[in-house]
Amino acid sequence: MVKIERISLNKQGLTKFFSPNEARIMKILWELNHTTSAEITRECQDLSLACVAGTLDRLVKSGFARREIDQSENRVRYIYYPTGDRNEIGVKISERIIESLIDTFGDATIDTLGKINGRRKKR
Amino acid sequence: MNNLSCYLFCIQESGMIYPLLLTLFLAILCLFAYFRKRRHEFLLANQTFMIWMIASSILTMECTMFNLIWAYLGIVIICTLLLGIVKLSINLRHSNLVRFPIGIISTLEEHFSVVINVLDSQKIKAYTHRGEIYLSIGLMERLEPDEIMAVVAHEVYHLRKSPSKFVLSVLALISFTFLRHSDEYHADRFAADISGVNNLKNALRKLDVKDYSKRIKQLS
Repeated sequence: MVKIERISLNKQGLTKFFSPNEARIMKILWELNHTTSAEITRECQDLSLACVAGTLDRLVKSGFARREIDQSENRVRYIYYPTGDRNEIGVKISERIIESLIDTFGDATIDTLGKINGRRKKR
Repeated sequence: MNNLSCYLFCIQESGMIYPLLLTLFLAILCLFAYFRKRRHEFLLANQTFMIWMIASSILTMECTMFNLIWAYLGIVIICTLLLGIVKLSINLRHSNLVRFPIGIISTLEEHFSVVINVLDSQKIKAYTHRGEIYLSIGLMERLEPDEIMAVVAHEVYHLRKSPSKFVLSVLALISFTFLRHSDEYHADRFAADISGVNNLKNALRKLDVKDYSKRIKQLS
C-alpha cells in the first residue's frame, strides 16, 4: 500500500501519492485495463524498458497492480492489470491515510472529518 | 614474530627450504602465465602449487608453538562451511519456478539438449545450477528470441566447459589466492559463434552487464 512517508501534499495530482513514473504508468493501466511492459514503453518513449519493468514491479509489490504470465505468440511475458479503478485505489489510499491520522490524533481527526463533511454539504 | 621465526626455523631444520622455494617460483610462473590470458587452467595449477607448499610446510613442521597453522585450518573449514550454506540457500531459492513448454524455450532446450527453467521474476536473471539453466521472465521480456539464444549459449558454455565454481572457491580459500577472472570471455566467444556477435552484443547491452564495453571489445 501507499507509504505515508512518501506522500508529498505540495505536489500535483497523483504524484502526491506516487512517483512521477508510477503515476504515469498507473494512468496507462487504468486507461488500457491490461497491458505489457513493452506497450507501456511504447507509450512513454522517454522511459526505458528496464525503468518501466522496475516501476511495474514496485506497483505490483505495493498492491496497486497485479500481473499474470502470458505465453501466447511463442513468447513468455507478464500482462499487468490495475487492482482497482481510480476510485477504488482512491478509497484504499484515503483509508490508509485516515487510519494513520486517527492512530496519531484520535478524536481530533474524526471531528475534523465531520466538520469538513458539514462544510461540503453546505456548499 | 615468535611464530614466524619458529616457522622459518622449522623449515630450515627440516631441509624443505629448497623444495618450497622451487614451489613458490613455480607458483609465480603460473600466476604470470595466468595474467598472460591462459585463465582458469593456470589459476588451478597455481592453486595446486600453493596447496602443496602449505601441505608440505605442515607435514614437516615439528614446532608445537606454530598456532597459525591451526588458525589457518580453522578459517578454511569455517569458510568452506559458509560456502556450503550459500550453495544450500541457492537450492532452496528455486521455489518460484514456472515449468511449462514455452515456444522458444522448448526450441532452445531441444537445440542445446539442456533443461531450461523459467523463473517467475521481473528481475533480469540468467544462471546455471545443478546442470540446468535458469532464465527469468524479466530477461525474456527484454530480449528478442535470437538474443535469448545468445544468453542460453553463454550459459551452456558455463554448464559444459567451466570448472565448478564451488571447487574453485574452496581451492582459492585453501591457498589464499583468489578468483580474479572467470571464463566469461570464452563463454561469450562460444555464444557469439552460435548466435552471432551482434545478437550477443545486443543482449549484453540490454541486460546492462558489468564490464559491457570490455566484453564487447574482446569480441571484436
